[in-house]
Amino acid sequence: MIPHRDDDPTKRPVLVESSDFHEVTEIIAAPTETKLNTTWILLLMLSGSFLCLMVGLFGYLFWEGTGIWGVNVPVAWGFAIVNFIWWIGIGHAGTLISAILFLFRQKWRTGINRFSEAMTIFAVMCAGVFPAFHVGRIWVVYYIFPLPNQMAAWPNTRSPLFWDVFAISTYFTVSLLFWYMGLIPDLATLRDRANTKVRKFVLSVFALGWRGAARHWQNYERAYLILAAISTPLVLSVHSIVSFDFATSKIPGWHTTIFPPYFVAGAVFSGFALVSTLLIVAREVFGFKKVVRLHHIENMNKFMLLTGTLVGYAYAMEIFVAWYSGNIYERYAFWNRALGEYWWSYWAMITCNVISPQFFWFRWVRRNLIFTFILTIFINIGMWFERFVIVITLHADFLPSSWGYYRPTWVDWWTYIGTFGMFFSFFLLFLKFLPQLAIAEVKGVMPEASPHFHSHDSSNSSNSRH
Amino acid sequence: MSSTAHTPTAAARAPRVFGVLAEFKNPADVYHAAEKVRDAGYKKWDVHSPFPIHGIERAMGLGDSKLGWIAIFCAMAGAFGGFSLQFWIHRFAYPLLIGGKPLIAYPAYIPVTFEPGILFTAFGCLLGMLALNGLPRLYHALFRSENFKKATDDGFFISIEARDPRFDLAATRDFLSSIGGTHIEVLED
Amino acid sequence: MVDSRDTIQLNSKLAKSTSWFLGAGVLGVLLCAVSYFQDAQTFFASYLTAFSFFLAISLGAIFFVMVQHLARVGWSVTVRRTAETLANNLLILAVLFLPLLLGVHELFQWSHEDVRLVDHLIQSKAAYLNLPFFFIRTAVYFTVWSVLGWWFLRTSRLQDETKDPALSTRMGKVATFGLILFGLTSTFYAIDWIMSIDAHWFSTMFGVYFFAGAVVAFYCTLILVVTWLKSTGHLKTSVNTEHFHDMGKLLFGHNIFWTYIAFSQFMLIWYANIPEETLFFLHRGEGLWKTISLSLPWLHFVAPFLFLMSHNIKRRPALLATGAALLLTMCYVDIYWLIQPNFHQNGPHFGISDVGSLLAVGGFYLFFLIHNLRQAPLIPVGDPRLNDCLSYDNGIPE
Repeated sequence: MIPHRDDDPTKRPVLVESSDFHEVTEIIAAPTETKLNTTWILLLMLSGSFLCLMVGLFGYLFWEGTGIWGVNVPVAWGFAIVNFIWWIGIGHAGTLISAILFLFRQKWRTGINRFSEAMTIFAVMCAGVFPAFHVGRIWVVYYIFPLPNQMAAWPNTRSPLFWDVFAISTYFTVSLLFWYMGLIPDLATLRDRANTKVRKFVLSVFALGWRGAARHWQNYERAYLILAAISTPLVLSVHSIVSFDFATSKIPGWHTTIFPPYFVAGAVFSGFALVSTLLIVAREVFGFKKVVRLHHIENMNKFMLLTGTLVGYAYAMEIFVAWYSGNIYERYAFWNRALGEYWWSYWAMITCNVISPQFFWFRWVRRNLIFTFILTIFINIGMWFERFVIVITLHADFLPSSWGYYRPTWVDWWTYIGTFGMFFSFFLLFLKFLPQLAIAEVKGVMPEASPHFHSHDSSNSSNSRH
Repeated sequence: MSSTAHTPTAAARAPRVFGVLAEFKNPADVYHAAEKVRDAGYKKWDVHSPFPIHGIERAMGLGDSKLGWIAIFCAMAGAFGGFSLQFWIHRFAYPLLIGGKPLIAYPAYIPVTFEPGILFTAFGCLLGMLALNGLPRLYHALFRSENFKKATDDGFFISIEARDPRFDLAATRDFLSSIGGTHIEVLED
Repeated sequence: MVDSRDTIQLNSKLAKSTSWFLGAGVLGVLLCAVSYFQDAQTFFASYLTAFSFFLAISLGAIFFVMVQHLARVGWSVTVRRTAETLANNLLILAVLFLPLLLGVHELFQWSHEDVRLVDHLIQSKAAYLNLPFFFIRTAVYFTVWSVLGWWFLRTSRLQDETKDPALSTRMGKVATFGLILFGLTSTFYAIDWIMSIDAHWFSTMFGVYFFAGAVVAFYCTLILVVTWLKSTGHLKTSVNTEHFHDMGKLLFGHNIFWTYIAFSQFMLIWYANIPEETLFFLHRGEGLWKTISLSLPWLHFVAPFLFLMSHNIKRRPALLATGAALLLTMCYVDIYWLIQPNFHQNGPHFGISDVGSLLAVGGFYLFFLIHNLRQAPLIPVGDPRLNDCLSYDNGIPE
């Protein structure tokens, strides 16, 4: 069998189908420099209206209280927490791609990192609104921060919910800084191409006077490396701390030590799925096929296969140890998940998360955009169900007399749908006004970028040095 | 009527020369040119490229970046701050026994020691990088060059500043031209 | 290309050291025999500890080799042969494992019929914790590991001669399935042979914890073996500062991963404080065991973390190897800490049985390692990514 070009161990995969730096600039800068088109405006209006709906529903919640949600006792954590974890999980792909893949020198990441970092930031914003409103009395939400207040009370810092506040806010801030730092050289590129005064002024301000100096690049690269190095444990810590919200408790099905890495694997899984979903559309619409190649999509699919399998391992381990523990409450919790009143959510989770990524074993599926698109949607649905299954475990705890059934209300549903409006509003603005791919980084992985490329025979050096 | 003593001197009014800018064809050319500028003994000079060129610090003879020290300092400050905050809350400000946990419960303090450490380091990295680079700086003599706009697209440049002790307008121009520079411009501050 | 002046074949001087290791192994066997007649249970506990430690190194090695093929890693080619040979040691470990079969009743409370009759928890696990199934599982683990360890070394050596790049592609394919098998077998080995010693205790993270420690132990060993080969005049140019830097980075990163897993497991059990789980840490929180428990965060994490943080250390083989040696010791302490408190509640009991077991398993382990390193070049000379590896550069200014 002749290996496919990207698989040939004697060659490096081709990451950019271009040997001209200027062409790369043109491809990536073009969407930000064209006129607003009608489709984009209509899409923005559509997602903006969902954003307004979300704001309206939070206003309603503010007025009426959490009684308009489906939460009850025992299921005191309903949609708000499910959606919070789902969104924050999606946010993990961005940091994974920009930090962990960077540390592992996975150069193909340059084609997709900007895109997924942006997604991270917007996803974390969507996630953040849920716990904020879930506190009930949003006007005293500042109690969760360690701030001096009129009651001279301080938060209990030994509580996982307090850790959550720090984890999420740190994650959001660090992602934003990381993203902005990556943008500086690209904003300078746009600045130097700007043809109107206003555009030039705004871009000049945000590009901070970047002039591509090697002495600057040296500090910049070191800062990027350190940010990547600290973001890697950060990304692990964030979803781990989210999992601590559950796992530090004594609730059967929640208290299990594998939760931290299992949550992280699931988060990366769903994040890659949403990046793929959006990327497949964006590269068609904006014509990035030379920079975001099928090779990139295939690699993402391999990661989904890997993380999906890890998630499957965690499911299996949970069930096995629940049985092995000999604890009747643990055993019941898992029996009830699979065969109890919410059996459909459990099997939806297994089908979407464990079975659907197995299609990625086949190379033609990994390289088929339509199939990939459908599977990524499945994965995102599955990961939503996973959180639903976990949260809903509350409905049958220790005492049968306190069992209950959770049913989301229309407010729950439309608030969730409203957050998509928020996400896509920001995302559309990003697509239009900022470079969607990292211009400087994409150029940096082209073989022509090597100082040895033009020195030697070019056909040879593209394989031996980078 | 008014003597020259009352108006700014001619020397001060005349634009000062910032330095000389030369363009090179590709990363390899600018890399080898940088080695020659380094060997010629220049100190106040720089290479400009749309992306970091691998190994250029060595070609330029630069030392290691100082950013690591800033990052370590920020990390320790953040972690210390996070831990002290929790210690102070439970020891002094608001001792409250909850869930059977001791007041000073080290395992439970680790997350909020870790997160501020990361947060401070991230700020230290971005702000430290900007500070070390003397940014933000919206005006720079190099921006006067129309050709220099390529430095963020597909151009590779070397600039040698006039404040370098070895700088001599004519000699430096010739030098840059001799090592392969084109579009040589003299820029005024 | 590999520098023709570089020594990539094990020299005869070093090959002579094998007799020392053989001698150590024989001495170890004698000490083991003595301790067995003193106290069989103590002996088996010590032997299981020493065995699991060396097993962890080889399991880390087979994991590393498979990941290199799967991810098509270029930088690691010249150190991969050492890892492959360490992984191939799974064959000798399968033999060294056999004495433990005699100690099942000494090691596992659940294997006693009379205990099972009165203990309803053990009774409820009988479908899993019963001797026939236990032996079948164990046989499966060692079969899978031996085949994987043997196959990757054999195929890589085959490539030395044929230089066929298609073999790399094939090893990549086998690695996918190999990793799945590896994940399951190493998890269940940890559950069966370590966790079930205390049959009441359980943790879903346990397999991951053992795996994380195994990978750390492997990187330490890899650094030590490669440093040793270099210091005896081998691999002068084929393994350079850049490779040490990368091995150091991976050791550093994986040690943080181990810490993350260890902390999460401890914190969750400590926090929830459920009797059947928290006993595990209660046993290890008394007397001298507490000191050993505390040595793990300080000496397995904090000290190596601070030491290995700077690239100035990672780029100096002598310093890096010193750090690796200390960390490897802590990997042994970690496994000791997992197994031994079950047998010596009142405090650690490090003695002749532990020394004997370490000498016996370690002596034969190293003997077999050197023996196999002799059979083929010390680097996979036929690997298509060899040039990538030789020209690899981390870009650190001097």
